[in-house]
Amino acid sequence: MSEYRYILVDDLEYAASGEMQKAQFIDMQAPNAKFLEHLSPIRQEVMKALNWSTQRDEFKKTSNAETDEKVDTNSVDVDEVDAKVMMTTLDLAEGVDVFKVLLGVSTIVTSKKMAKVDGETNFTKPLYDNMSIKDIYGLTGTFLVNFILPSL
Amino acid sequence: MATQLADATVLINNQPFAIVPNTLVFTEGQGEQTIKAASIGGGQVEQIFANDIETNFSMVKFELYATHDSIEDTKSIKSNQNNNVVQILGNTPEGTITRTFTQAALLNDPEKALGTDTTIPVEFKSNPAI
Repeated sequence: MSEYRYILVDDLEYAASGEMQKAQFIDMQAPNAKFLEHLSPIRQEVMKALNWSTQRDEFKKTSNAETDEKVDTNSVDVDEVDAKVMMTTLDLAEGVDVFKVLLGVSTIVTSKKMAKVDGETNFTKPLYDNMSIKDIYGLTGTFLVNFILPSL
Repeated sequence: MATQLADATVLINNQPFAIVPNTLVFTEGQGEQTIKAASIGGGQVEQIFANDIETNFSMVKFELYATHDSIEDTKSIKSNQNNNVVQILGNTPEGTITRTFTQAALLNDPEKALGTDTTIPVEFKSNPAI
């Protein structure tokens, strides 16, 4: 997918056509090789999180098999991951540097022509800095699910 | 102890601009007023206060170093006519000052001197600061 839209949850004001307006959505472009420096660490952290989730599920299966209990699998199925599940997995996984992922994604989406607010205005670092925590995590999760996971 | 605000961030159309330090100046856009005297006789005067709304516009000015980005960006801002938004954000230990200048127009034709100690002065007029 070459472009994906994130619908904002909380208010974000931005300047357009000489006035301040409330942003509705952010259109993100798929990153290319120009961003390898930021993409590689992001992929690594995502892989660590998915691996942790799988191992945790295997451990549960093994330990519960010994006690003959039914197991609820909580491991992440890559095909069914949404943004919230992705970020929750990253937050919970041991050894994952979530800040590295947030920083890497923010650098990519605020680069020139990589994202537009309401389809028209460049998404810049000051706008990213004004987003709510909910939207920062939502945007990051959406980026990971639509651009990083399909590349694994 | 109060701290002077000398290090404000300047955004034009959501983009931060690196300006020459100590060159940022703005007005609130509260305009100019006059007080005239009207005589009511017996040596007494009454004050007639007038607000000249023709002057109710803000002004923001600062200087930029002549870099590739500032030369190209000022050209693009000028072409935008009065469809720009300038924002100022300044933090001090006592608090934060923010001002937004909507429908800002770059009125002067910036002189772009190319040299080691030269700058590009820009001056906007806009709606009163919010």
